[in-house]
Amino acid sequence: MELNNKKENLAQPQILNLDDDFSIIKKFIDGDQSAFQILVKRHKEKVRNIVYLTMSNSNLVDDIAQEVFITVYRKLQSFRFESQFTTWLYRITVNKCKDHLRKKNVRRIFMPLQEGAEVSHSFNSVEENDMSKVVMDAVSKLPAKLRIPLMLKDIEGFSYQEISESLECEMGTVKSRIFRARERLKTILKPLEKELIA
Amino acid sequence: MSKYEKYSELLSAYIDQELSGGEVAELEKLLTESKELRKKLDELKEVKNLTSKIKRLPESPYFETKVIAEIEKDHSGFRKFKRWTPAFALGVVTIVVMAVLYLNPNIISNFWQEQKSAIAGFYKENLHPVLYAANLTNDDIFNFAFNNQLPLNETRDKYLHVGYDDLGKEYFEIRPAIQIAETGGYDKFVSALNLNEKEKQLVDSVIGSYSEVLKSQVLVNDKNTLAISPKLWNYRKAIVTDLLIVAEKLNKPEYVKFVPQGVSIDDKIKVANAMNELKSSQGKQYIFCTPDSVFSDEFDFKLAGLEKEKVEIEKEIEKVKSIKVNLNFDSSWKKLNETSAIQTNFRIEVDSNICRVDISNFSIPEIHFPGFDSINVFIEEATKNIQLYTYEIPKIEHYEEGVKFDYYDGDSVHSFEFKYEHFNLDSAIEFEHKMFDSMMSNNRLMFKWFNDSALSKYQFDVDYFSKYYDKETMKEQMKQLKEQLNRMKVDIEIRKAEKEKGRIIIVK
Repeated sequence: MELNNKKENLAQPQILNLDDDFSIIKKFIDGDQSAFQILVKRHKEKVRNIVYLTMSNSNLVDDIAQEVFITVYRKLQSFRFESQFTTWLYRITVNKCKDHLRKKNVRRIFMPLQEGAEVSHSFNSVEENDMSKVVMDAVSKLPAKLRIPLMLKDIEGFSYQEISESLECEMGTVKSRIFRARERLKTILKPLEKELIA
Repeated sequence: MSKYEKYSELLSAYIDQELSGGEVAELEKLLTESKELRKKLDELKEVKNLTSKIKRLPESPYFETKVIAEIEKDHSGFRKFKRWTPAFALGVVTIVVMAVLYLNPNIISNFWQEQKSAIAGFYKENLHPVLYAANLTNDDIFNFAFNNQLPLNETRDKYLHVGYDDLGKEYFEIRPAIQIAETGGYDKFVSALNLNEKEKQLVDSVIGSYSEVLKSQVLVNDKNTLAISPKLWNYRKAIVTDLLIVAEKLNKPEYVKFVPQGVSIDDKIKVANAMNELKSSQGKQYIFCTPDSVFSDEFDFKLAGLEKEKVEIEKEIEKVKSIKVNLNFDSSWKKLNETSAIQTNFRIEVDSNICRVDISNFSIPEIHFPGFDSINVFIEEATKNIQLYTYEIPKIEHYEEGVKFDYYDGDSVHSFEFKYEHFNLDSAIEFEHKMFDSMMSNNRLMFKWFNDSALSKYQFDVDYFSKYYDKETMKEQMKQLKEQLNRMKVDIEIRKAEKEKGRIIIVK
């Protein structure tokens, strides 16, 4: 009964609690396979959104997010409870995205025309696209090293500390990259300034 | 470089509230001194405001189920190569693989088949007949026969449309209600035949005899799977033929409106044989549309088993009612546009309105019934005649805020709607007379009505009319349409005048 109540509470993870994650992971390590499904359910949307914002491509989201959780499943037995589970999870997520971006860049060398066409889409007018899409198009033009910290900050609401842990880099680097991303974005959005403000 | 430029980076961290107390105090002091720095701050805030407007992804309710299925599959079969496996080990594996392939050339296809079976098994769980939940009426079944569409739920906001492409190959679509033909054709059919109550009951019983069997033709489950039996196309033909034969029997003088040449005795025998074969065939093949792929596979769905347990059926219906057929709006389906044609024999097109699956490269045994082939022409002719009889074109509907036009082209309804508030009167007046001149002179001009980008474009196709009407009839239709439009123009002018006076009127 107590376990059922617990599951009901977990069904609406508005506030993710460190202890909840740890207790679920402990259950999984103790052999309760269903605990993993609860873990996925709690964190899937955050992971999917990080993938989406990082890759700027909704077609790949579920495939990459699935890879993330399969990796977590394989490594969870050796989780050391030294840091938050989410820090570890987001690091894996970002690394998976980086892997895919790397592969995409390698493919681009061999298929410059098709891949080039894919990434260099131009803006349509704001009449035809909503603002979210226009801004997302602009963000997708940023290099990954600037785009990822910016998205983690502005959309996912990560702190600089959390971003530095997820990206495994210094906080100063995070600060600098977010600033440069905003500067670059401002230049990209400049031609659409009137429409965006209107 | 201005003396303040080095503080720009701090401004970015400032709006993110990531500066220490001392840094904030120092920066705020500088901000009061420098207009340049304040401008920079505003620019950065604006960019942050824009990025925060980026929409998050819609939720994926079945994601964890798919992950768990993938993990279980991973555990049961795959051997994982470690990244650090030395190259020589890979070489050894390659040699072993080559040897295995040499000794057992079917191993890859067998393995692939196993994987496909695992995925198919996952999506085949808990399939229920969706048409139970849709509460099929006789009008729905009539509509299916003559307009190729079946409702997919009780609220009738989604329809399954089955048809044939230009080459005569089967396809199906999932459409929103707005893009389907008008319902109510069955009543018009019955009144056209002047049937009395007893005769109508006979036609009802003919239609009703298909109600149960249709239910096992379309199945759904909570994994966003839609399973369609290939027999559906033939059932449509069977219902058409059955209805026409009974119509001929009940009222031959009226019946010739639909089938001028009648149905020969020979064809009736062929049809009867084909229908018997269709009803008794035990084919278990279904086409499965899932978020990952479209494939065909056997599935043993026992409708009779469900029939025996009425209580269970009620439970099933409640369960099925809760399932939303939402294939076309699911982002996971959109990727099928790119992948499915390569992976399967189906071609899939998904946009925000329609999900279409062409099964042109796939041959399904049950679809072929020789008896139907010989009467296909007459079935299609009768279908078109009944469509023409039951639908008036174009249909114009006035309502409080605007005017709506519908016309039916034998496949779908094309709607054009404009609201008085947004109507571009000038462009309408400018083009109106040119359009009628071109229609009257039979000038084959595809005419675009209004150049107002705020409105949907309505294309008036002369081919569409000339296909069904002789020149005199078309002129009459055009005259009526012109009268309607003139009336509408007056309506609009009255409304504009009334609006200027601050009054709103309803035009009947």
